[in-house]
Amino acid sequence: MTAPATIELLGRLDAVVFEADAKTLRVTFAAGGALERLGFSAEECTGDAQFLIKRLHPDDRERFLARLQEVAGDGKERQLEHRMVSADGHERWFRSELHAVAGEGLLGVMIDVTEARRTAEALRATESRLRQVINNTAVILFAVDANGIVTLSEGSGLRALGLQPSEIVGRSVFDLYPSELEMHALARRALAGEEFTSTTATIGGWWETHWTPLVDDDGRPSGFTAVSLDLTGRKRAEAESAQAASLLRAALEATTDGILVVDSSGRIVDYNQRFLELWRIPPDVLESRENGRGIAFVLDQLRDPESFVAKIRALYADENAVSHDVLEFRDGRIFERDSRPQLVGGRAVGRVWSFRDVTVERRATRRATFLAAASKILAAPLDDVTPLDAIARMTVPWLCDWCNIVLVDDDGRARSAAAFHHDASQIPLIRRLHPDLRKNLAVARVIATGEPIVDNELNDATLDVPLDKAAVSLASEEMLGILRTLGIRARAAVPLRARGQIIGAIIFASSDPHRRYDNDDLTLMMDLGQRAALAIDNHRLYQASKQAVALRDEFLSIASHELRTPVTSLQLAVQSAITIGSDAPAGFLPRAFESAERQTRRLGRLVDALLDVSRIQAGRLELQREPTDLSAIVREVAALFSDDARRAGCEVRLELEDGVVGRWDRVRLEQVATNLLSNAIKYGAAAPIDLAVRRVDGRARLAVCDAGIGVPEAERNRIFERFERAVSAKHYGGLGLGLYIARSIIEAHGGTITVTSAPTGGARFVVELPFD
Amino acid sequence: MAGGVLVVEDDEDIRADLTAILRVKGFAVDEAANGKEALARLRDGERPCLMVLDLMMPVMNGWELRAAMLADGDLAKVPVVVVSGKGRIPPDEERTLAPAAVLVKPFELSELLDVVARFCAAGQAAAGR
Repeated sequence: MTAPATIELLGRLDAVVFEADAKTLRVTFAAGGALERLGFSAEECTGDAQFLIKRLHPDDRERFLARLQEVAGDGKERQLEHRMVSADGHERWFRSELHAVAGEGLLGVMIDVTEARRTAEALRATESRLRQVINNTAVILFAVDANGIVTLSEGSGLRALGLQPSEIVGRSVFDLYPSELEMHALARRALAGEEFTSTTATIGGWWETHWTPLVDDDGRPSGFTAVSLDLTGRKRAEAESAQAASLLRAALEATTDGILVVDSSGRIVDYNQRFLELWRIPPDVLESRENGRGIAFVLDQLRDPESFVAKIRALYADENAVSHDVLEFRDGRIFERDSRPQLVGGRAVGRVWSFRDVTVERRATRRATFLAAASKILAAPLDDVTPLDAIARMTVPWLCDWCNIVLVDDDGRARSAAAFHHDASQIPLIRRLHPDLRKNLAVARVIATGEPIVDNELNDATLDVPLDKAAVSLASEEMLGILRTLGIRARAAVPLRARGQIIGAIIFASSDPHRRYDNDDLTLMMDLGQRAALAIDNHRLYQASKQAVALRDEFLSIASHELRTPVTSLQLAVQSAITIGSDAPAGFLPRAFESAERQTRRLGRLVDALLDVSRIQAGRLELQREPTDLSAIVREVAALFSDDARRAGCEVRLELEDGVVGRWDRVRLEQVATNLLSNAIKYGAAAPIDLAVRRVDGRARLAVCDAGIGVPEAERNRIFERFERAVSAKHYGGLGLGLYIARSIIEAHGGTITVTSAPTGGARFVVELPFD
Repeated sequence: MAGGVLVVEDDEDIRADLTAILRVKGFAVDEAANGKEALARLRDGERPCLMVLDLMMPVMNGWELRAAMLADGDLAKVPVVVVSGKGRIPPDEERTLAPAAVLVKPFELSELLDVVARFCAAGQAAAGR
C-alpha cells in the first residue's frame, strides 16, 4: 500500500487517499494529486497531529468528524461531500468515502469535485436565467419530434394564449389547431428540414416564428424547434401609427389653409397641396426640401418681401414664438400667416406655418371701410378741390400707384382736378395729363360713353392704341411721353356721372406688372366714382346756388334802389303839393305833377323789365310777329327820348333807310330800341348819338353809336347777361337788365347783337335781324 | 359867412323837387348833378349851411366826394345830410361818411325840412350868389 509505485499512481489521481488514527484523528498517511492542489505535502499532513481538523472547512468540520466517529463505531463505510481549506485559504469541494481498517484505523478517499460542482451550478444558473427569460418574454418555445408530436413547450406567450405546457406537450401540432392550415403548412416545411422565419396572423395575434429543423445522428430530419415571438402589440402600435398618420394627412389635405412644416434646421418636413396652390409653387421646387428655395420662389409675389423675410428670421431665432400676421401680394391677394412651434416632449423641433387666403373677406371689409372713409371726405364742405385730392390720395397704394381725377370744363375740355402719386414729385406730371376728348382714346372714351374700361396688359407699345384698335395712334406725343415716364402696366378708368351727365373720370393706374384689376376692383371704383360725382355735382350746384343767391341779393339791392328813386320823387312831389297847397308860387304845382308823371312811367318800365326777365327765364317770351318797319320804330323811340337826350346834352342823329320791313314783334323791337337808346344817353357823356337802320346782306341792321365811356373788351360779353353792367353800381343806376332783355328779344327773332368799342371810348351796338 | 343848402343829386326830377320846395320854404338853394360839380363849387369858396348828398351818382359819387371833403380840413366842417338810396347805411360805412344826418329814400318831406332847419336859417340869399 505504501510502496513507492503505489504512491506514484495515487499522485496521478485528482484525489487524496489518507489513513488516520481513529481515536486521535492524526493523519498517518496521505497521498494523491489533489493534495498538491490543496498546497500541502504528505509530510505536512502527517507532521501535524491536528492537520485534518485544521484543514476541514469550519462549516463542514463537525459533520465530517461525526461521520468518522460513526465509521469507527460500526465499521461501516460512509460517504459525504465537504470542503477543505487549501494552504492559500481557498475552499475546495471533495466527495469522500470513509472506511474502517483493521487496528483502529480509518481510510479516507477524497475525490476533488470542485470543478464538477462549478459546472453544474453554472448550468443550473443558465437554465434558471433562460427559463426566466422564456417565461417573461412574449415568446413560445416548442420542440416537435419527427411525428409532429410536441415534446416541449415553454414561454409566457403560452400564458397569453391561456395555455399550460401540459396541455400541449404530447399532442400533435396538427391536432392542436386543426383549422390553422397556414400553421400546418409551416410545420410541414420545418419537418421537411427547412429553416426559415415566418410572420403570421394566427391563433389570436401576430406571430413571428423562427423554425429550426432537427436532424438525427444519421442526418435524417427528426423534428424541429420553433421560437414564436408575439408581434400583436407591435402590430397594433404600427396600425395605430398608420391610422394617425393617415388621419393627419387627410386633415392636412382637407383644410382650406396652406400648411407647411419645417424642422429646426430649415428642412421642409411636410406640406399640403393647398400650400402649393396658395403660393403657386410648382411641386418640384420643394423636392429638395429646402425651405430657402421655397422662400426665394415666392418673394417676388409679395408687396413687402423684406418684412416677410425679416419675420421668418425673427421666428426661427425664437423657436417658441407664436405669431400671426397678414401678407399682402402685389396682385392684390391677402393672406393671414400663422406660425407656431412644433413641440415634441415640450421641446421645439420645428415650426408649423399655416396660410389662409383672406383676400375676399379682407377686400370686402377694406372696400367698405374705404368707401366709408371716402364718403366722409366727400361729405366735407367742398370749398375747393381739396377733398378730391384726399380721394386721389387714399387710392394709393391700395388701388393704384397713381390716380388722376379728370373733370370736364364748361368749355368741354378735360383737365386734371386732382392727382396723387406715391412719388410726390410725379404729381405735377399727372396734372398735365389732359385727355383729348376729340379723340377716341381710353379716358376720352369713358367720358364719351360713360362705360368704364380696364386694361391689364398695357405696355409702352399698347399705350396709344385706341380701344377699338381701328386706327393708328391719335394721342399726342406729349401725353404719351408722360404716360411712359409714369410707367403704366394696368389701368382702370370709371366715369363720373351726375344727373345723367358724364362730368369726368377717375383713372387708376399701376406700374406694377403683377397688378390685375378684376371685377371686384371695378365695382369699388365705380362706387367711388358715383360718390365722387355726386359730391362734385353737389358742390357745383351749391356754388351755382350761392352765386345765384349773391346775384339775387345784388339784384334786390339794385332793384330796391331803382324803385326808391321814383318813389322818392313821387312822394316829394305829392308831399310838396300838400305842404304848400294853395300858397304855391306859379308854376310850382305843374312842374311837380310833370315830375310825378315821369316817375310813374319810370316805375312802369321797371315793373315791365322785371316781368320780362321772369318771362325770359321761364322761356315764355312769345313774339307776336307782324309786318314791322324798323326805321319807323327807331324814329318814334328817338322822338320819345328827345327830351331826355336834350337834358343829358346828347344830340340824337338819325340815318334811317326806308322799307326795312320784316315780320317782327313791334312792341318788343320798340323795347330793344328804347333800351339801346336809353343806355346811349345814360353812358353817352353828353356827346352826339347816331342811330342808323339799313339793309345789309339780306338782313336788317340797327346800329346805335355813342361817344361815351365805351365798353372795355373784357366786359363785352358780360354786359348782355342778367344784372350785369360794365361800370360800378355806385356810379350808374339801372337794373342792369336792359341789354339782357334786348339780347333775349333779338335772339328770339333769330338775330344777333354785338358791341364794339374803340380804346378811346364810345360804343357801337349792332343789331342784325333776319326778315322773318 | 354860411351859404344856403347845396343839393347834390343826379336824378333831375328829385333835384328839381327838392330845390323847389326848399326855396318855397325860404331857403337859399344851389344844385349840383354829381360830386365833381359840388366839389368845384366848394373849391370855388362856396360854403353851404348844409349839403344834401345823394350817394350813387355818375362821374364822382357821394363816397368819393365825402372822402375829398374830409381830406380837406376846411371842407370837412360843412355839415352833410346823406340821402341813401339803398336802405340803411351799415355802421362802418356811416363812420367813413361822417354825416350830420342820414335820410333813407323815400324819406318824409317833414324829416328833410327838420334837418335843414337845424343847420340853416330861412330867408337867406342863395349861397355864393
